Amino acid sequence: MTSQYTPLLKLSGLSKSFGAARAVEPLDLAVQAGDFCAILGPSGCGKSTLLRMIAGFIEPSSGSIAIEGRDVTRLGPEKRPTNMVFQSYGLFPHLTVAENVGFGLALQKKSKDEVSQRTEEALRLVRLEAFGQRMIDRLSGGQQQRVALARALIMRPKILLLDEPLAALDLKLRHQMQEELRRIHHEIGGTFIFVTHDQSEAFALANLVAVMNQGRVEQIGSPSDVYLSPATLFVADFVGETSLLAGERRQGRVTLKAGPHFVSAGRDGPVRAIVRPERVALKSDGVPAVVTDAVFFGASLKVSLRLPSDETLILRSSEADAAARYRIGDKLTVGWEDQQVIDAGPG
Amino acid sequence: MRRAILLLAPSFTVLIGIFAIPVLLLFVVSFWSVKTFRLQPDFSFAAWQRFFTVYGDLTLYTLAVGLAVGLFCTLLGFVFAYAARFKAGRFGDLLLVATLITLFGGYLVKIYAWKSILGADGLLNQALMGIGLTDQPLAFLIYSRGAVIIALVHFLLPFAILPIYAALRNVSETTIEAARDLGASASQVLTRVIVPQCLSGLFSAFAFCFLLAAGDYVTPMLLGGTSGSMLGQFVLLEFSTNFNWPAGSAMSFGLLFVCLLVIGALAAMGSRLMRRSPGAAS
Repeated sequence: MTSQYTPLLKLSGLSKSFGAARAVEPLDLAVQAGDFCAILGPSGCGKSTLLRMIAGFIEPSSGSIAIEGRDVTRLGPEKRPTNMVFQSYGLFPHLTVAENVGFGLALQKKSKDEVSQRTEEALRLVRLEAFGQRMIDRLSGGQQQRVALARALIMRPKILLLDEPLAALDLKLRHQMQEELRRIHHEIGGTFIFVTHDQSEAFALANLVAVMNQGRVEQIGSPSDVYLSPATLFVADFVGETSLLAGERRQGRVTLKAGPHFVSAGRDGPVRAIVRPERVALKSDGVPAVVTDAVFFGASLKVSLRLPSDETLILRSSEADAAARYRIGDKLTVGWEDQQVIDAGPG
Repeated sequence: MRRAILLLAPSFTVLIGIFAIPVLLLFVVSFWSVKTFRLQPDFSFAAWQRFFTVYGDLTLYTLAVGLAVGLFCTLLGFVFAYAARFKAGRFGDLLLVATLITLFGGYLVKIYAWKSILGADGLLNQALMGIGLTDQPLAFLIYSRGAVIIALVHFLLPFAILPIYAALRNVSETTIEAARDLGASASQVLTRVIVPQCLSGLFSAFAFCFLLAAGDYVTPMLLGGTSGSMLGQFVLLEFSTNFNWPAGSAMSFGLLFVCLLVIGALAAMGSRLMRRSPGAAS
């Protein structure tokens, strides 16, 4: 994260309050050129507010925003080298697709030839070259999404901001657009920041993930960092289907309520062990468990197990005969390879 | 389909029976003649000739008043509706209700209110003399074109605000944010994003106010004096005092046709404007 070079985008102590309510707690974030950064969090966590502050639609209550070392905190959105793809697209219904895409360039008084040439390029980039003369209401949701993307990309923004860009699309289209976004990011080598509540989307697209909760950034790191070594209980719980098992640490040894104990350095007190479902497997001398639910997902089987401590442990198996092995009501013993331990407050 | 016809039948019967047919008959009357206060079926252009020669100037002047009122109403209506839609927050709908309430105030009440404001011993003149700006009442305040236009704008403004507000309600904030994000200044947002999206509302507002103003005869009668009279007054005069129905009919239809011409030209201009883009064309 720390770099001796000036990052492309640098947020320092940025915060936003609406009246007495803090929407975004003071935070620092640095994004390097070429990054594909996801701001991940549940709805109402302040992620959209943060994005809109970067875009210039919301004036921060404190802190600063610098792009390429230049302070843009007080500049309006029309003066910032950022462009945004809005969640509801915000396409101009009175203009054709090509006019929508060329809107920003036309404002800059570029020559007609340049506008139409770059419009064509942008439409080709999002694979809508045949749709230039269509009106917006003649497009499907996925096509409108592409127009919104082309309209922002044609401006060659230093940073492209995307607000829940794929939220309105159905699952299949969403996966297709994720691929498109990755391809476009790769093709133009730009810097993208997007907001999402969907951790799989964040992991599928981003190389840098900032997890937010209640206006606070809980963790910034690569997807694998965030997934494998969550910094807080919230991150552990929010990212992926993890099981959180309660326990107690005494003199470098953690004992879980469910039974297992293991070595773990740290402060004495209550802890939570984070167990990833794919790390759980049958183990002859393991913890006794009862299968309470088994859901088949095609590629894998998700099994919910009740432990003696009355906690739920999730197991994911991709073995071919998994469905036969785990049936609701079965009593078995399970174990797991390793776990992450996080200090938990009392209770 | 059958059901649709059945449902439409009553209103069509009423419309055709008591509107379309009488109007058509009245149009026919404009080619008739009058002899000793009696209508005679005829085919004469006398009434139309009278309309063009005697009332030509007054028609143009009536149109000018209508255009002025339509323009002022549309402009002021847009400003009000814009503020109610984008600047008033949750008070926007309240402002609209207030607008509607002013419609309950009678038409004549408003005219008399203006009479007591603009008259020789009215509020405005009293105030001007009170602070010593003039030593005698300003006569041009009332019984003038200005007075007619002011009263009509005041009366018709709600008819402009409502359609414009309805059109602005459909302009999404996101399109405005998107335009700003793409580099549009405040005035560019207005001219390239907001106005084009509410053209239909602006058009209905203008058409409504223009037609109602151009056809009005009560306001100029009470506030216009001799310099502010309009064609409608003389239509009334021909029908009643002069008992010259053909003349009144020709004048009514003459004004109607000219007004429709203006509206038609405007609609054509509007649809041309809609097709015109802010630059990009590929």
